[in-house]
Amino acid sequence: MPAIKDSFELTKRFAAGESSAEATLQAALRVIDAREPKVGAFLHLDRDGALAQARDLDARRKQGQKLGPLAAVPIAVKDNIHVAGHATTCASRMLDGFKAPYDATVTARLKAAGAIILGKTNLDEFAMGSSCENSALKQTRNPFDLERVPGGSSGGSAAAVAARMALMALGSDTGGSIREPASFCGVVGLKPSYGRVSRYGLVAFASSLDQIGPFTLSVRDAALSLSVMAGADPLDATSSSEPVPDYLSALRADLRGMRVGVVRAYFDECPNQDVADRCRQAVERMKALGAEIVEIELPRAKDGLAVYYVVASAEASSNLSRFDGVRYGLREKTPSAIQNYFATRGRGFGPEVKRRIMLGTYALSAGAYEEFYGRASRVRTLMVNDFKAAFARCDVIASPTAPFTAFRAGEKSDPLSMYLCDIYTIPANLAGLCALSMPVGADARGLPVGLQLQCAPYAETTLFGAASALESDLNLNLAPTL
Amino acid sequence: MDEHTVRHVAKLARLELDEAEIRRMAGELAKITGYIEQLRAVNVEHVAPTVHPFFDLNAWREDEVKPSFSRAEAVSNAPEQEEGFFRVPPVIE
Repeated sequence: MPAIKDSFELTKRFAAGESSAEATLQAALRVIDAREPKVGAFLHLDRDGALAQARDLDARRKQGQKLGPLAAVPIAVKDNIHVAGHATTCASRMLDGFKAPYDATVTARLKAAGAIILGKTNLDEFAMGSSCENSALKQTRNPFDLERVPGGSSGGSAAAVAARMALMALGSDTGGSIREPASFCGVVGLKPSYGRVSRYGLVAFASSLDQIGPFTLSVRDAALSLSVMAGADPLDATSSSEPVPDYLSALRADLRGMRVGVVRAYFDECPNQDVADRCRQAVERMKALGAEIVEIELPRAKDGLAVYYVVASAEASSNLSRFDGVRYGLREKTPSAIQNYFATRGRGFGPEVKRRIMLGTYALSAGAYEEFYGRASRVRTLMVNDFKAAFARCDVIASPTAPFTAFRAGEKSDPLSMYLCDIYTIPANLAGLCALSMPVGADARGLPVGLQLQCAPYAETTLFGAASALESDLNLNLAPTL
Repeated sequence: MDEHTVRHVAKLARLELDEAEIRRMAGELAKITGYIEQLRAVNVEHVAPTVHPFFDLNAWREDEVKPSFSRAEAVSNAPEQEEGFFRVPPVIE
């Protein structure tokens, strides 16, 4: 079978009868057989289930049934999103033995659209981390350099798509957990606007920040998959009833009339020269495509990391209180119920999760609340106001996604230095913006560099327009040699 | 952030930490809270907090009975269950 460029092309071939779902799946499984032992993206593969889905699709096509817009696309799902009947581990010991009794809304929508679910991918435990090294279950490697991390927390999903083991994958993004690994692995990673995609069936980390989004091999695939996933859901009260436009019709070939905002410091102070250069060149191409480049200021963005670690940890400490050894997952044997909570949580959570629960509990505790959570929530307002002012002057903001390319496993042992990975991505979550990372080149070692584009809440059409025009202009072919 | 505070917060969080973890956590959290202290330099007087990106958004629905999990499904993941109940160690001695 000839190499397939992206899911969009695959669905066209499938619809035209040029390939069967089963043949497509078998091709994906062969890539997995060859590459998964090196990359380690998956925590769980469902070969039989995937095969059954593929055969069902082929049978229905034969009967002349109308199939969904993602028919025959093999996809991977981050292991903090439920797929009914399969384990959801969150890459933690805490959820030992847990089987999801229901489908997440995104899972149900993808299945209904004809996507074939291959399995569940690795992550930093409970989505807390930027390298996948906090997984309690497995180490995932970067397909471009197996000594390096894939980024995180959705590192397994990013690596699976980068290695072409899946044509699409789901991740979740609380402070950059889709965009940073997308940047490190040379794929497109989309964090939709807050509330754009239902979170029913996603294990909650920080509820005012979490969003589910796709990893894809092209911008049009991101648009295609968002068209399937977006929209109100009665099972998630925070999902938006804002109408879902046809995102595929938002794709553009030029950027005439578009104003691209840049914060000069994000480029000038970027610690990695190759990252700064590739991103500058990408902005130059946007200008050549007709965009107007506007210098903007986001004065409070420098406080984003501090605000984020208070807000996200506070919300996490509350959300993770449900892991108490009573209703699901791990339970330590103790003589009393109270001891049970302490022992189960002490044994079940890994070091980073414990750190964040501690930080969050402290930030919400009597005496510290106003100075930590209260103050951070007020600075958050100032950051939201910064973006409002910026989006009055520009349509899209361009910056590096991460301050550097993929780093070596074990290189960042200090928690704070790991947190700095997300310095450019965090503000979008705090303000509810939509944002994506797209590959714009490679550094001197051949490691992918990602450009982040951010738009106002629910301006995904503008985001896809900007990204698609740049993507076709750059015409990159970044694929790992494995 | 000293070891005494770490012990207190761990108790609030129902989190068992051993002595080595308490020592390490005290150092790490001191560093992180030290970094967060940069927020003290920001003037937040008369600034309302943001606790949710779109706080004015509210979702209402009719209070209707709909199909949901069976009892067996609801307890299917319990570490211990008995006759459709979650079984736990004694709460009161």
